[in-house]
Amino acid sequence: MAFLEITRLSKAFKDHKVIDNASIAINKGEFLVVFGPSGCGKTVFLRLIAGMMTPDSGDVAIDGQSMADVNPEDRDIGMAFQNYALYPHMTAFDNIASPLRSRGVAEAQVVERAKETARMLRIDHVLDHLPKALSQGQKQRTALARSLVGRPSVVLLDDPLRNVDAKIRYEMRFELPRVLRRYESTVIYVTQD
Amino acid sequence: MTVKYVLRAVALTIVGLFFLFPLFWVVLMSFMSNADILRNPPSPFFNPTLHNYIALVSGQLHTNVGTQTVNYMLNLFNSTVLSAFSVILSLILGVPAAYAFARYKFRLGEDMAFTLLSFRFAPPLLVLLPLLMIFQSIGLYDTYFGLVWVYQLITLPLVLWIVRGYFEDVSEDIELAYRLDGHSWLSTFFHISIPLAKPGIAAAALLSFIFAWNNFIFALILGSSGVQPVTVGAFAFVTASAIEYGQVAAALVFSIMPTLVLATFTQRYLVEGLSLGAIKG
Repeated sequence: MAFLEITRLSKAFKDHKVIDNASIAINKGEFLVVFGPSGCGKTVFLRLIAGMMTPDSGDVAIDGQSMADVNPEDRDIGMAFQNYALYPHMTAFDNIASPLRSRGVAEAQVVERAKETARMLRIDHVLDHLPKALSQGQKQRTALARSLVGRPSVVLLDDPLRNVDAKIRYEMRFELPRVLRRYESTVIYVTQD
Repeated sequence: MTVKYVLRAVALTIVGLFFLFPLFWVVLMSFMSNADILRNPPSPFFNPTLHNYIALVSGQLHTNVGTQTVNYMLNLFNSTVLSAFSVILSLILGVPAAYAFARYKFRLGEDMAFTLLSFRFAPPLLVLLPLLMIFQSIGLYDTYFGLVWVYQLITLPLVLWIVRGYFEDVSEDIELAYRLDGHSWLSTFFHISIPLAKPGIAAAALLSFIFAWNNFIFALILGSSGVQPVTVGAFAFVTASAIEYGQVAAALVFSIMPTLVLATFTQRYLVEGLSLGAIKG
């Protein structure tokens, strides 16, 4: 049985069907890329998996368990948003530490794991900065670190390289698979590029 | 460049004088005797006196026909209690309601929000007489609780509509990201939504406080001297023999102080940016 199973998933906004009967099965540790033009429903697809939207029909199951009645916070999913969605009033460190603190991880462990993830993504020197003081590339890495630090079973990446400049995008194309391999998560990567 | 700078300075000075002159004159009057105030033509040169302030603090108002007891300090206390508790109650009720109106679409939602806003349209006199009769029959007449409740007609719509706008400006993605981190919706509300809407909440609280502080008619009709605020209390200086302008001015200066101090302290939140650069764009 596949680790992440999406069965006959549909979502429409008024009369416009955005996701129409989508079924897909992904094994643990697999990396799936969803590719399509802007407005084709890629982000909606991720939001349905994350539980931020309710599908009109169909089901999402993780590790054999239906997610129909499971709240987003209980799905063990990490997500990096296209617009980063960093918490503006928290430092980069607190942003990254957020998933660990929600799970009641001991503070010493929180510090260790957040710093380790930051080091891996080369943002350990800006951990005490607020998001407004970070460059686009650093914001994007912080968002990525936050989605990975809790070692969630599923990682959703919503076009995380879209808003960064060409140089960082080029670098990250090589770096991202390296980082993700280390975390052994099941990854869905959405992009239009 | 220099001409432009000078013109701008002159324009700002004129506007500043226009708005600040009444305040300046009231402060001046508060240090004058009634004779100095009523002198014709008026003059900014006079023998300053603290008698007006002493009368307010001591509660003894000396007039031509004798000494009258005024309880302005109690009025000041009442204003503080009524305004503070009105704002606190409005924030407790209004902030979660504003969040619900901003984030969720539900049946009759807009109608409910508009009904709450319409409390601001209705002239207070329209509801005062029925309210007076109801308050007298259920024992709320002349109580702090009753007045704080009625003040919700002033403060709640303000909080609701101002804070709603700020919640709408907070990116939904930030809240969703926090929930995906494993936090409950309640934790998200307290740790993400409220801190990010803080400038709006501060602005709404300050405006509500000022509106509640300046209210006159509700406390005049629905309470007696024991619970009446400064706006009604200043009436005591209009005596049978004369209008004690000096004491009225001193009372005004006293009554401006709390809102002035509050505005100074909350200014930081009022001008603070909302999203602080966390969102691309």
